Amino acid sequence: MAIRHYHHHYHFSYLTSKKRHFSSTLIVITILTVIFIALFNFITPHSALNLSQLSPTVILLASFNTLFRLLISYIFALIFSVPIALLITKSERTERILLPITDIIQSVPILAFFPVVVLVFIKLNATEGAVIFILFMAMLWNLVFSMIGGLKTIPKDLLDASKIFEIKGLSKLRYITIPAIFPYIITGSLLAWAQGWSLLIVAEALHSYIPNGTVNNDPLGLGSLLVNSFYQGQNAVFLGSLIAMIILITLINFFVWQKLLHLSERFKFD
Amino acid sequence: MTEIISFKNVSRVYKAAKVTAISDVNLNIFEGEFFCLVGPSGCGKSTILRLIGNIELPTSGKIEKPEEVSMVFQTGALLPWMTVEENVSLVNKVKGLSARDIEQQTTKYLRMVDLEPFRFRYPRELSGGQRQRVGIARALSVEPKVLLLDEPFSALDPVTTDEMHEYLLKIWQETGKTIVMVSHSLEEAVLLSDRIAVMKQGGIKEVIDVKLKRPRKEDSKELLKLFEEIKKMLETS
Repeated sequence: MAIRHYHHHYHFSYLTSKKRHFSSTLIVITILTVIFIALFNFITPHSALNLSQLSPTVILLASFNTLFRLLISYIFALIFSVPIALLITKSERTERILLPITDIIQSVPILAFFPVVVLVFIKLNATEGAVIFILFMAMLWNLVFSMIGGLKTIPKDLLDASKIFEIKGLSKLRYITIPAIFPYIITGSLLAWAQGWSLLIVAEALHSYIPNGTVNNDPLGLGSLLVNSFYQGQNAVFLGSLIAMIILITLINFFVWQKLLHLSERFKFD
Repeated sequence: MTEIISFKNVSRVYKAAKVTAISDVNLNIFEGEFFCLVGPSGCGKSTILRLIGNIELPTSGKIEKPEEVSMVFQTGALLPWMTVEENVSLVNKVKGLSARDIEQQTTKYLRMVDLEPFRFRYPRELSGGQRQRVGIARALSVEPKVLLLDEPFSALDPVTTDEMHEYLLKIWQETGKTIVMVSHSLEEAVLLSDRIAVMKQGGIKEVIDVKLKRPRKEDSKELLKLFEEIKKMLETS
């Protein structure tokens, strides 16, 4: 009953009108701005908000960089998650062996690997790689486990039909498996992106993991801008980055996820 | 009559669950006949069908059957993201038939089940009976020698079921295919088939010839008499 109730809400959420969607975003931004200005006044009463520090170009560039990193990580996670999920669910035996292993790997906090990963990438002179790798790892498991859930819900009759009609290999993947798990790929992707956004702040602020690291080591992005601007007392930049992040998330939600969630209805079994 | 399917001492054991689905089954099905399997739940009816359809392999024994076997499933097993036309043409598309041949086959069998006007609809836009007719058209589109049906009408209302019986008999008479159907309904089996395999747990108890003339009427004396006979047989199995 609870699940059904949840799904009713879920259905409603992506039928939300454009007006409703954007007006609620505006309300959230206003409330957050008011709260943060109040907090800034409390923490640093003399320089609460200095708008001259705010550079729209830097915010735009940071937004673009962050989006690019998330997108690359997501594409890699998507590409890797399909064969992993297929391999795990290939047979009862593979599931018995591989599922507990992946379950343990995914339960180890990704940030525990981070210092080592960062140093490896620094040695390779690729800080971008460190950010993308950590975001990729964070996104991967949401996709893998959603896909496993999806693969297990494919009706038995349909799998039997694919056997009797000899639809196998890539044809099966293209015509049956991928469409059948499409709704699960979308919900897994939503979770993956949410995870990506929340890890961004740590992933882009690399310098604390580098011996003698400074903020100059951090790649420009909304995550690093949020962390570093706050510590440097640039409250306006902090608030600007936060608002940019909310706007970006809202736009992606409205123009990508809501449409894909709506589309995924067509791929659901009765 | 030419034999098209033969089971010689066939057993199927599910090792993981330690269940013997069928044991030492011997069975002959002839070309062009309408053959029905009836029996209590879990007696192995569907296993026999799955073995004919190559969905499962026997643990022991020998099965002789043609390669061209097709199946209609209880749930229809249609792809909800594909239109009626796409569902019916998919198998031929995967087999690599030319676009023209695919179109010809699809249209031919959609017409046979009276669903040509519905070709661009999605399964969810169809009634239960229509969906099963799409399943039949898909199964026929690959020109099978044997058509398997696994309780295809069990989820339909009585009126639609009667309608589907007529469709199935029409198709059988027009195409001359061998039909092997699993049914949970004894009435259905007596009404449609040439022979009925009455099953007991794990095997076949008896194969009965249904020598009633067609078209058969559900309330005819002969049909009811045979129905009662088989029912008694099932009760004592």
